[in-house]
Amino acid sequence: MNTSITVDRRKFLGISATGLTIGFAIIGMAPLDDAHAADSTTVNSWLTIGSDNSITLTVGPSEMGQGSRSGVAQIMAEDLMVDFSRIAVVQGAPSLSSTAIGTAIVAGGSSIIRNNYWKFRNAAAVARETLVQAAMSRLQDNNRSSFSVKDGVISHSSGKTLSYGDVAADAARLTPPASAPLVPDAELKVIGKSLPRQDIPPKVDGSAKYGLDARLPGMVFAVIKHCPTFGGTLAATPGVPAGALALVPVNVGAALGRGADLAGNVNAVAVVAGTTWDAMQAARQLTVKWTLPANAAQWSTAQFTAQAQALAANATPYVAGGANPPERSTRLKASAMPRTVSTSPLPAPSWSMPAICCPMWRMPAWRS
Amino acid sequence: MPSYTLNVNSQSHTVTVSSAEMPLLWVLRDVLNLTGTKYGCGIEVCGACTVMVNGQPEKSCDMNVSSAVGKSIVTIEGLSKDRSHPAQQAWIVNQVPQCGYCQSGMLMSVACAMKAGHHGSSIASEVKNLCVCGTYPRIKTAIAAL
Repeated sequence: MNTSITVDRRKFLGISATGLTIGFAIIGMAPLDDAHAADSTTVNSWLTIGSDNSITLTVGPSEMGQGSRSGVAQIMAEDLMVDFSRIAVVQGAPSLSSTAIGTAIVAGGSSIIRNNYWKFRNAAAVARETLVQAAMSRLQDNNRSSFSVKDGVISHSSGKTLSYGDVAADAARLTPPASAPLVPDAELKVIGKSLPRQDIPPKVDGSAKYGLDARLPGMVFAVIKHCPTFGGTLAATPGVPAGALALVPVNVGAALGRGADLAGNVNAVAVVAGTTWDAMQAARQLTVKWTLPANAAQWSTAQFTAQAQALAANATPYVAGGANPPERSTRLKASAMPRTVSTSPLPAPSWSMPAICCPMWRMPAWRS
Repeated sequence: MPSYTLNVNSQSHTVTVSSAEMPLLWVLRDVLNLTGTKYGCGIEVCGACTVMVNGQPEKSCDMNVSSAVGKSIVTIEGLSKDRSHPAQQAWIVNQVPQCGYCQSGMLMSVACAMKAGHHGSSIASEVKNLCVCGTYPRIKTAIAAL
């Protein structure tokens, strides 16, 4: 097990006269082997220590109740040597430029902590040592062993103490070390404990913001009216219905794995109005003409139900692109979820989540 | 476009909406920007939209705004100023929420049951809200102390 990890210095930023920011790269979803093999070079996460002694961690992965937002703060609290409650975790916003900032804005596959545990630990340790370096400079003592750190306070053998905030601006001008010693396993104080989650209090008073709760000045609301089958397209754009402000033909993400919906096909309309309810009412009353595919009957609810029942009885799941797996347990056979063979040029999803887990309106907003 | 004056969390609001039949849920969320009350089904099945109206639990997704006039409406934002309602405290102590989306409605149902005089496990028989994440075991533990 690593106790210290070398990281390319170019990944770190020391910006802002008002505090120290350590930038680092985390990986979104990836199988564990890939995560170890290829390191992302795009900085997509930031740990900032302010001159006001504040500590902010900005990361992409969203908190959906799985606890990772609190979990990453807990991991960083260890090597940063601060109380866990002092680290404010902020949801990173998606990049507005055409360049993606990496695969970090995603939550899935139970991956954020297990893929990035050592990255979080190292970033915290490097931040700590950069702050200590600034203290060493301030107190003009190059002997690291004269200094100790506890609860975000750097103490010198002379008795002098400096908080992280006291030296954050100075630390911002230093080049952070490539790596720093991590707290040894035998001395872990924070990691491994069951701590109260930071995301829970806003969830008991209505202040936690979900996708549906995003509000911008002067915003309007839209609902989507879908083609009733996969693979259909809009035959004619309807006029704007009564009560609505606009009607916009849209493509709603291809049906992965079926090959029926091609990217770019217009397969839905968005009905826009002043409130969600007005949009819903207008959409309900709207009649839309669709061009259904020749094999529309194949994509019907009745057909899906019959197919699912046949697969469950057959107990041999399809595997996209490969041979069927070896015999599974009796329990798995009885409850096998039907899968489909991918015939489309689009990549098959590398993981699946039951649709009931993440209805779109429940997805957490980018900023809490 | 009709106007209605509503008493929400002890504050008076006059709203102008497209129809008397607009559900209270959407007036709260889209007109008053009180987004704590959630939309889960729109057919009074899940309870995510539960608010307190004159002390009683109401599913705001199917309650006409016109019938909310003259009544005292309390939403999750008005349950307390600072998470101090005993149910909110019990929810934090027992780490009840997972994704949290259902919990506004859940807490309002619990608060209504408490207001009606229920205690402990008898609150559970009054609360029929759905939680897709399945936090029911922690809800039961939290309720037992109320």
